[in-house]
Amino acid sequence: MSWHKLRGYFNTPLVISSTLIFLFVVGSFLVPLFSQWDPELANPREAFSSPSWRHPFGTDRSGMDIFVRVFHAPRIDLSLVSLGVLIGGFLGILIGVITGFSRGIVSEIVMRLVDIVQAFPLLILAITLVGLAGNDYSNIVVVLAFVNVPVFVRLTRSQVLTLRELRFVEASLALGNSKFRLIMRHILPNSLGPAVVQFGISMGYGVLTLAGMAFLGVGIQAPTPEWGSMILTGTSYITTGEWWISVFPGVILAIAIFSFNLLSEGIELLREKNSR
Amino acid sequence: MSEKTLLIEDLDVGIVSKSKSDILLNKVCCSVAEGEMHGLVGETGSGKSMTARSVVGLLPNGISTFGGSVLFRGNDLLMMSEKERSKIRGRDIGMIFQNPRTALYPLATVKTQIMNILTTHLEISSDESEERVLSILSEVGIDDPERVSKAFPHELSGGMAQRVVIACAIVCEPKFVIADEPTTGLDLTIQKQILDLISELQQSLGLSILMITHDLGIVAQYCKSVTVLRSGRVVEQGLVDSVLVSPTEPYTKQLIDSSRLDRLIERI
Amino acid sequence: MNEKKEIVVKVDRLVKTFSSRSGREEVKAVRNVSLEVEKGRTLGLVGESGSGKSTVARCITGLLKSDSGLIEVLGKDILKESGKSMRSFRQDLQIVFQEPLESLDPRYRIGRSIAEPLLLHANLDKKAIRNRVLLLMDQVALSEDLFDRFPHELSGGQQQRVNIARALVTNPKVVILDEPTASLDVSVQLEILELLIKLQKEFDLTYILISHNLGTIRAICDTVSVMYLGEIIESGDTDEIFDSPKNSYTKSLLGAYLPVDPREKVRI
Repeated sequence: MSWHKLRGYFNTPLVISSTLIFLFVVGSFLVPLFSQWDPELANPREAFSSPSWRHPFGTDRSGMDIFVRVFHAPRIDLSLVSLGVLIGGFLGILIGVITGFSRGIVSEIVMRLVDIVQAFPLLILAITLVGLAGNDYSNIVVVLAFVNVPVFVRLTRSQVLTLRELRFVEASLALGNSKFRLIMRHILPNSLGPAVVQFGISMGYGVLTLAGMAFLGVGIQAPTPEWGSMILTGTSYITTGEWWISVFPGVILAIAIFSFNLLSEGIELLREKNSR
Repeated sequence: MSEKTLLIEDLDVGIVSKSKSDILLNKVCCSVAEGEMHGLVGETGSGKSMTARSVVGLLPNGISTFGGSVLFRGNDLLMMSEKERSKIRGRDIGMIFQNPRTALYPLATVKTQIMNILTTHLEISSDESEERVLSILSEVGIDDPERVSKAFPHELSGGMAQRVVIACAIVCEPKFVIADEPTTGLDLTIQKQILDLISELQQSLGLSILMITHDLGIVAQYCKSVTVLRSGRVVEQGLVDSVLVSPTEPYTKQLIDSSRLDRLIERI
Repeated sequence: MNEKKEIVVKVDRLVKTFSSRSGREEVKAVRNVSLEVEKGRTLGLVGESGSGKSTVARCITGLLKSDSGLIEVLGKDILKESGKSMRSFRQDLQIVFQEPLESLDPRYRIGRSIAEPLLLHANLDKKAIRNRVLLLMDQVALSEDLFDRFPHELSGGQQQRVNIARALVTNPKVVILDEPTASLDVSVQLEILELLIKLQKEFDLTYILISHNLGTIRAICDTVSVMYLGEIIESGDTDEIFDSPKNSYTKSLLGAYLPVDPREKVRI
């Protein structure tokens, strides 16, 4: 693939978002490595320091350096969310293709179940489920996967429903493809488009959900660094003057979500370009 | 020498947008004499539909006329305001479109639609217009006008719907009708019925008709004169009896030959 | 001349009914259709919309399961074939559809699309497959540099050539052509038909051509069956049917055919 051809794949949102995400990932490894501060060790003497060279983002009430914690958080945040969204997405696409392709009573039942799950507000559902199941990481991943299944089912299914009416589906069968090959080789690849874009959006949402859960005391617990729980511990101090405890994690959280949404946009632009 | 109902002279139409400019019609000249059917023929992209739209002023966004004139009974339509043009559309110039079911408004009955046209253009009471609806529907060969008038477009067959479109086009008694591919997509036998109907109405109402089509057969059988378009330019024009029998331009010859598929085996 | 006729496709008393979702409405799309096609010849199935001709084609290729009747292609009973053997049989029985662009997977490059039947049925290595595809592309007059293009980058005529190449890549014996030129411009239609005739001669193909276009039918069919509302109402040699039709529907169908020569008048 020549450089010239590769150039065509770059568009502004894609480049910016990939860079940001890359920085987050790299940062999550390098910052804790090079920082003198332990992200989980309390250090009462340093408590409530305002931002300075020593503590670029200040410290919280336990004296933990916020800068190192903010950049350590992605390890948990991103890994749990990616895992959850990937699993949910994979399942959702599978169900979407199957129910889109075969009609009948089973499809209808599955779709109604999907409707039911989607009827609950995402955050409430996630919090309830984790609250019931317990705070360990595997539960969080399962819950994240679960709440993401419906949207992927819908996206993929609607693509499949349109595709199956197209002539090339009939033509593929006429050539000698089995139904299985038809689905795997023709229908699935053509229905992934919206789902791929959705991944980015779901990642953003997932990070938000995780943070939201932590903010409400469910899911990731202190002292594990997580943007949401960090914001939580800082809320009572905003009015007393120690604004940095909530603000920095909040801003970084917003940037993270923004980069995922931007990533979706970049992927969308890429797809549009290819289909011209 | 009969009067020209429609006289298009040196019409230039093009796309103007930030990224590109393109010429769609280049110095197109065309005329329809009074009481005659003139065929405007060309392949896809030749500009025939664009010509029709320029006449009635219904060009899509970004496309406009740059030069030339479109004289309708002596008045230049291009020089008129949109308001004046919209008065002429429907009342003095009737339009028959391709794809009858999409040309009609899907959410109103046939009766409502025709009455709307009548009350928009003519000073007519609603009782009178109700009667007019039924009479125009029989005039276009519909056997059961009462039933059809109460139907919605999607309930009608292709042929029936096209008859309704024709009724809409002539209900205000215009003297000039533009028919843009009026039979494309219809079954062969229905095509013939619709074309025969248009031809009959032309005779009985003294209409001048601009027939836009890609089908040379329609031109040969129903039109008096023809203009052949290719990529926005006029290739050849004249009486059907001379252009289609002894064409002078190679493109015209090619077009005629391609249409005579039945002669294919002889050639191979 | 007493050569034994080799019947390649035989259909006997085919019936296919469609019922709506609720099961309340039934449409007898095909009722009691019988036909025969000899090796190397072309049968034309002509009819208007709703005649059932496309349904017959799909039943013959096994894409639709018929309700009753016999379908024999190259000696095989289509209705009795298992899924797996039917799929394998498709090497010998192919179909080209009306929609040139829509028949191709938009994500596959041209070369890959044409190669698909080989990947499914033949045991060739990559190089052999590529060579075979290039050979077919040459035979359908597609330039080699289109190999890596996507369907939307090609013109309608080129797309249809791709479909034809794909249909012929496994050397089938029978090819069904369902309105293969209906959505193409007239000059392109001619090219495609000429191509089909050339390929038939070269590879001794048997065609079943479905069309509503009488010119196309007359151009390449040896025998014709006229369909109306699911039944075959007249069959015979093409010349016979066109010159002396017996059935009144056939007559009105032929009457709807508009000759391009204005001296041949076919009017009311």
